[in-house]
Amino acid sequence: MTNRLETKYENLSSHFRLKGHDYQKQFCHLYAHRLAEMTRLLTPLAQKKWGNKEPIKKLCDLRGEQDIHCILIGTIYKHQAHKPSILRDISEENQLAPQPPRQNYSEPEDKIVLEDELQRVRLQGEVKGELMATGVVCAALGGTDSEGFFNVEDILFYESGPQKPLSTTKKSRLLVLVSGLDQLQAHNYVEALNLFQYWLAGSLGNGKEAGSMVRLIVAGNSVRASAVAHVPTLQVARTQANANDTVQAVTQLDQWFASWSRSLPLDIMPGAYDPANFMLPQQPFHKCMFPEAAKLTSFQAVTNPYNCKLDETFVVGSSGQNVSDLLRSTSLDSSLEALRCTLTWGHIAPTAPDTLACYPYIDSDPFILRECPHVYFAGNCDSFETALHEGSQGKRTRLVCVPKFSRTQSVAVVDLDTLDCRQVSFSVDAE
Amino acid sequence: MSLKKALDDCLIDFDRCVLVTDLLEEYKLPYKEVNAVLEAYIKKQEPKVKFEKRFLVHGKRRTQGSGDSGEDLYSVVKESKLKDWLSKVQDAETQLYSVEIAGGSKSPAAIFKPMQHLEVKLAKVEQRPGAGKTAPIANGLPPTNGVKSESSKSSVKVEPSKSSLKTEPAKSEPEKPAVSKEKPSPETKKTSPKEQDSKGKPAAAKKGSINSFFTAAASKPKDVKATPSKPAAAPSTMDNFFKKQPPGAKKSPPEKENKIKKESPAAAKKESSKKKSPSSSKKPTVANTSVQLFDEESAESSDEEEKLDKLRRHVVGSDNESDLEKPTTSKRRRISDSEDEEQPPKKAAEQEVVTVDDEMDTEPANETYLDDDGFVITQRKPVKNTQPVKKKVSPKAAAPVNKKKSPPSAGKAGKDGSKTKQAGIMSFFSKK
Repeated sequence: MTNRLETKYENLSSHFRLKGHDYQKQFCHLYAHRLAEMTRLLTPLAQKKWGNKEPIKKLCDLRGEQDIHCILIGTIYKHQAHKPSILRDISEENQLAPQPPRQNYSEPEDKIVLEDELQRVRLQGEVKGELMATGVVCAALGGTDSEGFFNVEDILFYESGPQKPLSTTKKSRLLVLVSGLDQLQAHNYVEALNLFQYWLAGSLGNGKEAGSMVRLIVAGNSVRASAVAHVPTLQVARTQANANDTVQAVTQLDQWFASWSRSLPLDIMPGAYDPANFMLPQQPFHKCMFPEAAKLTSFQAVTNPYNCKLDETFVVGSSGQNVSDLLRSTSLDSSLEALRCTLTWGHIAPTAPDTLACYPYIDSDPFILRECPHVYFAGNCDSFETALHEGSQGKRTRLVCVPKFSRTQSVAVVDLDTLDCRQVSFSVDAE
Repeated sequence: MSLKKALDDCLIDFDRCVLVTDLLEEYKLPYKEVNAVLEAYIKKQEPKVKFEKRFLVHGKRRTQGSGDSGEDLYSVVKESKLKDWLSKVQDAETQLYSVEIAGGSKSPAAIFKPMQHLEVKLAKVEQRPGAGKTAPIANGLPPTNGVKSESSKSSVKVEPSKSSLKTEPAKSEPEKPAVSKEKPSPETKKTSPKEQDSKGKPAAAKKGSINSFFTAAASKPKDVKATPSKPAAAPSTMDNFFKKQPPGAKKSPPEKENKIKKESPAAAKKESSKKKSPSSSKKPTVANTSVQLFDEESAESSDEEEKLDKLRRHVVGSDNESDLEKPTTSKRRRISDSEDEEQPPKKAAEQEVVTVDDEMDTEPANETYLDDDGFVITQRKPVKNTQPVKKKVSPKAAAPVNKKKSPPSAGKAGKDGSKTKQAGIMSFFSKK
């Protein structure tokens, strides 16, 4: 029996913990704070990139004048005809039955608008509208024209700020990422789950590899991986049965987690369909949900999104709501690209609070990426995808789309030293 | 017992699917060793018996999409497909995964449990502080409805309370009183603890409030007059009041009380000398039922009570003078009427109303409480009722809480009021 490699661990998610529960506030505060904070961060970058010759102006300074060449810093608003709107849904004018929600409501005709504190201007030119999303803050270099458009010549994003250099220890330290355990459907792949746990414990002849696994992060949807089908019914028994299933699934998960936590440190994040709060940032599961696992210090329930540091490697991740929402509102064709975009934009969840539920913060925006992570992941993706993103100033970030275990029976393993990433699959040939 | 011996002694039943991972758990062996022993055994048996085997194939599968690194694969495959898989996967390794006797009836599906045997484990598996305490109460439910939990509850609850500390100087073991609590009442023995709880709640609450009165009275005897002045006018019956009390509040006072009564009769005597209280001489025989308590109290009458009566009469008289306070006082009288019907003891009732008043101060307009059956009931208070409550701030108004004399006086007040009005109208007509 060998001992597992240990790393320094630091949980950096305290800013995602909600201190109050005031849901009465408007979301304008969040946008205002996002713009103010990002303007502060983008201004020196814009000046560095385009020089001091180009003035940074507010929209109100333009006063409708033409041919003014300047830099504007503002928040993107994407006007989309098919964006879900509760007002439209309930409007009596249409007299139509509610339409099923579209999987993707991005259209080539979508209009891109830049907003600052007071005004807005429509953008055209070097803006890839179909790849942009509402809520992104950017600096745009360009000029006004006679039709009231702002012709963009170049655009600058924050790119998640500076990154601390990663010193190599020449010791393989592996971070295991798994998501979508979907315990309610676990009977379909319980054998794969069984293999996975013995793989974690190093029993499948992988003792050396298992010894270097330093942490397991369960990135959401552990209890349930899809929405509960709300069949209109008068039967109380049905809802009761659903609730009982959930309780049973949580109890089973508790047993699995308690067992795994004896083998390695485990962080569990809540997901979109888990019995947790709906709005981002999702708060950690209460320890009473996992009484057995919670006895161990190696088990901890964490927030979604989640930031932590393992030795010097800065890890940031979510349970995938940000990516899936971005895929609905843009023409981005893969989760990996969506994840890359959020890193480039310097914001974990730009579409919150527009189309992604989020707590109405009034004095901060915790989703701004102020420090560029070394590992950036999103859980509950349809398939495993990974890429090493190389940003400006030699920043390197390992992007990982963690696949749903319930669908792929696979997990992602990241080497914290080299930032290499691979997929490990556990399959059972049924035939 | 070693795996080899178990196999030789035919202790492992191959009629069902035997998983190597199960053997790992049972015999605490590494996978390779289990694999070797099992393969050797199967080889030995195979000429006679035909086994259906599944293998765990481990290797690397090259994928186009994932760029620099391939995909590690752990796959469970049947023996018949093993060759295909070995050709698909690079650097393939195979090990036995499961074995069962071929043919026959279909074996039941294997049950997969969380692993216990770890090849690689944490150097330190630390328990969270206090984990042992919280663990037994899963989902917030007590494991049994037995006496133990009750006694532990009471012992936990009693300790921090100041009053119990004051009144129990000789108390050494916290669990004893809880046991003794159950012994003296023969009626409760027949019922289960759960039933006991549910049945005993209202009574306990009554007792609690009465005793809390006494404890409160003992601590600040002169405040009795002052406290009722604040909130005044309880727009609900006594029953409602008992129901309104949160479950925690219901439980703790009787516990305190019982201890006060049983363990420190001296303290109780002191209280009784200051204020009306159940006679200390009867206490040892008291069966802790509220009815008995009230009987005792009602049987007693003292000079002090008469004094209070006088005072009440005086205050009622003063109430009649002010028209503004009429509605609230009449309400108060109605309450006191109902109290009189239900509970003979005057003093106790008085104090209870005082406590009601205290609670009313803090309670919101809507009140939620648990009824006897454990249902949450939200009672909406009419807004009208709250207004007179606030009006009735005068210290006099609260004092005449109950007493048989107050209802007649209230009636008088009402009659007087109507008579004068009528007289006015009559005189108006007569004048015309």
